[in-house]
Amino acid sequence: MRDTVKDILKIILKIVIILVLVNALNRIFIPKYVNENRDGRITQEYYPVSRYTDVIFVGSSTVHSAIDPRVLWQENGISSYDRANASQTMWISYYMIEDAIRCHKPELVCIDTTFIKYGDDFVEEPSTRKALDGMRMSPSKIRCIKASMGEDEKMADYIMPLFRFHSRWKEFTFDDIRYAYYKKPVTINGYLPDDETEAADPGELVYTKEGDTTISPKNVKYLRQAIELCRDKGVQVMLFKVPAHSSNWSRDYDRQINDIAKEYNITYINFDDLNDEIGLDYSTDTPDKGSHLNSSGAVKFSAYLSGYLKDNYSVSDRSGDVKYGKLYIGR
Amino acid sequence: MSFISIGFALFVTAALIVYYTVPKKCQWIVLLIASYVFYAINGVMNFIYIAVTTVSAYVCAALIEKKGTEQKEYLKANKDSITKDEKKSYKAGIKKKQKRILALGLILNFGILVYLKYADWSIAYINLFRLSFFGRTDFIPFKNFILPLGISFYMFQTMGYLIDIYYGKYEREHNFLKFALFVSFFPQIVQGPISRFGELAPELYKETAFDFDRIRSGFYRIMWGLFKKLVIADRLAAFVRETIAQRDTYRGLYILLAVFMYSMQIYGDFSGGIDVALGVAEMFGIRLHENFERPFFAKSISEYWQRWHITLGTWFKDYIFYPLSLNKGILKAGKFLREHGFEKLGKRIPIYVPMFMVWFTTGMWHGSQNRFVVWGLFNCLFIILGTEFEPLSLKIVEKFKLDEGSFCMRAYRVFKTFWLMSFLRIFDISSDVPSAFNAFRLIFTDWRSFRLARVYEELSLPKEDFIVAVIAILVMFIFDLIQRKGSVRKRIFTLPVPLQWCVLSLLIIAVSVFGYYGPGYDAGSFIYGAF
Repeated sequence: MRDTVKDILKIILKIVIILVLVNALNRIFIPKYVNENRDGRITQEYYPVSRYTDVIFVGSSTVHSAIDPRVLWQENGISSYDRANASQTMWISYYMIEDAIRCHKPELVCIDTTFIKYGDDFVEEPSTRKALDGMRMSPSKIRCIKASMGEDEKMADYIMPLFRFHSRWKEFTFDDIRYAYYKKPVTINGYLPDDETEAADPGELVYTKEGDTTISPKNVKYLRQAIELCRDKGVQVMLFKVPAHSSNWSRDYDRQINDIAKEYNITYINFDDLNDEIGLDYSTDTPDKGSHLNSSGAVKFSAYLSGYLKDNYSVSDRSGDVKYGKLYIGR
Repeated sequence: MSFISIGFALFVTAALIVYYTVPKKCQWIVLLIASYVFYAINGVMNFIYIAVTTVSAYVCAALIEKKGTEQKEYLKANKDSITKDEKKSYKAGIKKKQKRILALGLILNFGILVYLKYADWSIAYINLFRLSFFGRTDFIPFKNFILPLGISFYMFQTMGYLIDIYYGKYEREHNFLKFALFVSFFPQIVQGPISRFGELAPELYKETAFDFDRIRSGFYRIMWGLFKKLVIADRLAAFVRETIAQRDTYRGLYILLAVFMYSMQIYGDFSGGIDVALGVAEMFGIRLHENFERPFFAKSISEYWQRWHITLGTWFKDYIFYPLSLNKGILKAGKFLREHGFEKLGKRIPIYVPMFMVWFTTGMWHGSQNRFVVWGLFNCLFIILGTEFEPLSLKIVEKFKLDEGSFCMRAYRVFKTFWLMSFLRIFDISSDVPSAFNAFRLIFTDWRSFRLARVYEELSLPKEDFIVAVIAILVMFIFDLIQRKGSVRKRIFTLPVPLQWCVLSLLIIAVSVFGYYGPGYDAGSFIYGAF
C-alpha cells in the first residue's frame, strides 16, 4: 500500500514537472505581441488590474483605438479597461464579459456593436487567437473557443498554443525567450494609441451598406446573452457604436439594436450622431480615413464618453484612490 | 481516434485510472470495455465486422473442441470394442469434420476481408475483360468500401487462433467476453503487432498491480514512437510523395534521396506506431510481441524479414509456409522430380513453392494493387537468388580470403540489403508497376542536375526541416545501435535522476516542437493502419 502511494506521488510529481515544461514551451512559442500586433496583449493584461476596473468596454479594434482609459480617469475618476481586440466578434465579447465578471464584478459594461454587421460565419483565426491566447483557462474560455473556432480548427490547439505555434522554431528570435514571461504592460488598460493621421474623405457621413442588413442570429443571441448576464449579475449595461467615418453601416442595424435595448430597458447610442458635440474632425482625428480614431480623436471621444457615463450611470469616482491612480498617472 | 491525438491520450489516461482502481479480477473487463469504446469511437459500423469475426471464431473453436471431446468420449467408451483400424477411421472422420468447421471459419472471415479489400480490384478487371472481349461499356460500379479499422490485423490474429485450436496447440477460451478481448485489445488493433493466443491471453487476463516503473517505461516508449512518427516520418512524407510524382523533372539523385527517405519514413511511421502500441500496452502491464529488431542492420533479405514486421512474417511462416511445405501434393511433386533426375529441383520444390505463396499473399495483404503483388514476388525472387548464389558467394569469399566477420564485410552486406529493400519499396510509393520501373530507371540518369537547394525550395522539404530530419534519423540509428546491447530505456533508468529528466525533457521538446503536426501540416495517419 505504501509503495502504491509512493508510486502515485511519483506520477503526480512527474505530471507536474511535465506540465511546467510544457507551459514554458507554450510561453516561448506563442507569438509575443509586444513589438507588433500589440492588441494580442489586451486580454492577458486585464487580469492584474481586474479588481481595479469598474467599467469594461468590449468590442473590436474601434474600441481599443478610441477609448483612452487615462482620459476617463482624468475627467471623472472612472477606472476602466478596453477588452476589445481586432475583429472581436459579439460572441467573443460575450465571453470577455463572462470572464471579466468571473474575475471581478464591474459596475458597468459598455458593448460596442460595430462588429455586429458581420455574419455568423465570420471566422478569422489570427484575431480569435489574439483575443483568446491571453485568456486564462476557465469554462468561459472553453465555451468561447467552441463558439469562435473555424471548422478546420481544433480545441486542443487553443488550449495548448504550442500545438499551433510549435513550427515557429524556424523563425525563432531571442525576443521569444526574452518576452516569454514578460509582465510589463504594453497597452494602457487595453488602449492602443495610434498617432498616425490619414484624413477621411471630406463630406457628411452617409451609411451605404448594401445587401441584407438583418443582424445575424448568432450576433443577436450573444448580444441578448450579454445583456441578460449583466442584468442577472447586477451589472449596468450600455450599448453603443464607437464613432467612425465609415459608410459600412446601416440605420437598419441601429433600429434592430434599439429594439433589443428597449426590450431590456437599456440605452443604445450611435455616437456617429453626436460627432459635432464630441468635436471630432475626421481630417485630423483618424489614422485610416475614418475607420478608427487616432490618439487625438480618442482624447476627444473619451472625454465626452467620460462625462456621459458620469451623468447617466452609477459609476464610482476613484480619483482620490492611489491604488487606482497608479494605473493611469504617468502612463 | 488517432494514436496521435489529445483524445487518445485522455482516453488511455482514463482507462489506466479505472484499470488500476477496480478490483484486479475485473481488470480484463475494463480492457474489454475500453477496447470496444475505442472501436466504437472510430465508427460504429466497424462493430459489425469485428463482431462477426469474434462470434464466428468463437463458435468454430467451440465446435472443433466439441468434436474433439466427442472423439475422446467415444474412444473411451468403446476402448475395448473397436479395432485399431476402426479407431483410425473414426479419428479420420472426426478430423475431417473439424477441418470442415475450420474451413468454414476461415472462408467466412477471409472472405469478408478479401471482399472488402479486393472487390474494386476485381471489378476493375471484370470491367476490363468485358470491354476487351465484348466491347461492353456498361461498367459495374465500384463499391468503394472503407476498410474497418485494423481488420487485417485482428482477422489474422483471430484466424491464427482458430488454426491453432484445430491443431490442438491451445485449449480454446471458454469465456466469450475474454475471447472478445483477445480479438479487440485496442492498442494493437490499429496496426498490430499480430499476437498469438498463447502469448497474449495470459497477459490480458492476468491481475496486474500498479507499478510506477512500468508506467514510466511505457511513457518513454510512447514518446520515442511519437518521435519517429512525427519528427521523422511525417516530415519526409511530402518530399517523398512529390519527388516520385514529378520523377520526370526530378531524376537521378532526387529519386535516390526520395527512396532513402521513404525507407526512413516507413520505418519511422510503422515502428513508431508499434512503439506507441507497445508503450500503451506496457502501461497496462501487458507485454506485446516486438515487431521490429533493427531491420536496417540486417545482412541479408531473409534476415531483414526476420527483423521487419516480425509478427506478420511469423504468421505467414507458421500458417502458410509450414503447412504448404508439409502438403502431400507438394511433397509428392518434389519426390517425383528427384526420382526423375531433377535432384536439386525436387529438393527445392517443397521450399520454393510455399515461399512463392507466402510472398504472393504478403503482397496481396499489403494492398489490392498489382504493384504490391510484384513487390512481394520480387522479395521472393531475391531470397531465392540469395539462396542459389550462396555457394558462389562463399567461393568468392574463400578465393579472395575475405573475412566474413570483418567490419567491412558486415557493412557491405548491411549496405547491400538496405538498398535492395529500399529499391523494392519503389513499388510502394509508385502508382503502378510501370511507374515503379520507370522511377527505378530514372535513378540512373542525370545525376549532375542535383541541387540540394531545389529540394529545399521545390520539394516541400525546407532547409530547416531537412536538417532536423537528418539529425533525427541519426539519433534513430544511434539508438538502434545502442539497443543491440540491450534496452535503451533500462540504461536511461540507471542514470542519475536529473539526467533522466534531461533525457525525458529533450524527448518531449523534440516531439512537441519539432514534430510535424498541427494546423498547416498534413500529418498522415499511420501507413500500416490502412492495411
